[in-house]
Amino acid sequence: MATPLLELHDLSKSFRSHWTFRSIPAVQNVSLRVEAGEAFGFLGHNGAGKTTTIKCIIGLIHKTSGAILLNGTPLTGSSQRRSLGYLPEHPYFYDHLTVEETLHFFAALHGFSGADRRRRVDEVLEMVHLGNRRKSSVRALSKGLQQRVGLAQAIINRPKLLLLDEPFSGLDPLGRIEVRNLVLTLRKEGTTIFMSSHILSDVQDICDRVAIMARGRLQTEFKLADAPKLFGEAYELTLHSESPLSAICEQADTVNLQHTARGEAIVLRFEDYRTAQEALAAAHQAGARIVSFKTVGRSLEDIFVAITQGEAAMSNASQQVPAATSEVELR
Amino acid sequence: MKVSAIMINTFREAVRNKILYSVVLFAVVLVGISAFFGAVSIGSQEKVIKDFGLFSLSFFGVIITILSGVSLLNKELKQKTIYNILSKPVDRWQFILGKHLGLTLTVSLLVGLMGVGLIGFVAFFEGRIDLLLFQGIFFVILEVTLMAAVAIFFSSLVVTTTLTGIFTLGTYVAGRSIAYLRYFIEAGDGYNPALAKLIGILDWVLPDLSLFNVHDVLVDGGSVTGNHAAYAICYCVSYSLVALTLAAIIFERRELN
Repeated sequence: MATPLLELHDLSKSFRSHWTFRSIPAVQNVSLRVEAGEAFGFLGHNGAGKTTTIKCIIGLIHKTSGAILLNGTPLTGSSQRRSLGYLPEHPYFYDHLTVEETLHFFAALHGFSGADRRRRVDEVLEMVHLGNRRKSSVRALSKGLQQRVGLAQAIINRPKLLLLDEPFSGLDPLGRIEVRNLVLTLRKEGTTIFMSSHILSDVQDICDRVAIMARGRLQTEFKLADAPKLFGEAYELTLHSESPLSAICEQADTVNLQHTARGEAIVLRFEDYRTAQEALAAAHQAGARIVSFKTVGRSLEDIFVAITQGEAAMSNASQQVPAATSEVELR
Repeated sequence: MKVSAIMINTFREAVRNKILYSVVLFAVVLVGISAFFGAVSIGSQEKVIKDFGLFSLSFFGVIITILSGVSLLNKELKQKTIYNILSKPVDRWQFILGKHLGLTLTVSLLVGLMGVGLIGFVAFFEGRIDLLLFQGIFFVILEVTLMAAVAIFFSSLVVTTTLTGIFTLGTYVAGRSIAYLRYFIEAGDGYNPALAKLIGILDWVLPDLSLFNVHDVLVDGGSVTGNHAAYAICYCVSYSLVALTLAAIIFERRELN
């Protein structure tokens, strides 16, 4: 097996309370591997230990125990950070510097000098589409543009591993799309991505694998492509809004029935196949206008909620799932 | 390269900080006042101008150092700009050294500029350039170099800017006074031995800033001896290195949450 680019072995970090001097665990025995070239999503609710883990990797805080390996070598000295890029959750910059000066400063910290530095700064400015704002003061930029500066400083050294801590935090939809596209471009170019985010749809778009943290511990780690196999599927019955919903609900077991209105349609979502079938039959009997009946993969959001809330019976539904179902058009 | 990048950035930040200019303006006004006192005093106009001018240089040099120095690390921590720096291949000691050099460069340049103004002013009265004043400016620069290291040491040790400022200012006042205390202990024999011991410890720990106070000699037309200058330079460099090493050790252990 090839050596993973990043490997955490039983990583733990505790903080000491200033008042009681008690040790408060923030991260407990986290072990994971990130292979070169993959995009890895690191998920968890606020306070789950994601940022602490990332800060341990980057060396901003000191781990209590465990090991962090980069290319199989313990990540200890500052020189190993040459191959890392880091975008903090809220990147802060010097008020007195322009965009160009900021990037020159960070390039110099990576050892770039002279013409090399100018060339690299120009390249990165073009990559993040900030070429026309190079002379602007960073503080005068919008949050979205500042995030692009943040990303620019993180990739100035052409990192092998790019650590992104909530890269979409505080961005408007347009800013989010811009940053997401930049990350996707970097990924295509072969940069390994390790990102934490609460925007699960973006994680789903960008990442190959995800790990979910809760209360400082790693709860699960899986390939997104394997999610239907691991976590089962759900079923959606879409009816025309004029359909007699109450009649269907009377006949089918609808204890956990979720329904949402989408324009002229009502979408009923079922966690298990038997209930979905009962509802479908009831809809037929009631003369409802059925638009579609289909299997849908569990969204990352469903999986995340289930895991972080400790619902262990997640896979029960999958026991009754028929083999690889596809959308069944009924009318 | 990394240290010089941090140094230049610190220098640039200070130069673009408008608050600093108000302090410099105030210092220029004070040098002007010294000129006024010199002009109205009888017989020794130039002496008063030089004495008051050199005092102003030293005092404002140290004030600017303390004002800029105490917030140097705290500002980086508070504004979280340090995250972007220390996530690069930069050691924490390099960050501390770069900050110190940047602060020293800034204050030295300001002291130098104010000093040139003072020399010009004295030349206006005396009709010649008093080269001895360059020695005075040089010793002020040594003093601010040392005080910058002290400010950074306290900045790494204490969390709040106010406390850092109080400790640094206290060290400056004590460092200026320690030679007098030493003199009293050596001259008198009725002192409490415990007090004498305490002053002995303070004498050893605190910076002896009297080494850099050469105004009296210069104003009287004398020159600082080569031995004294060499000793003062060695003392400044050694004391600063010790303070910065301690700062780096403390800062190395700091968690950047």
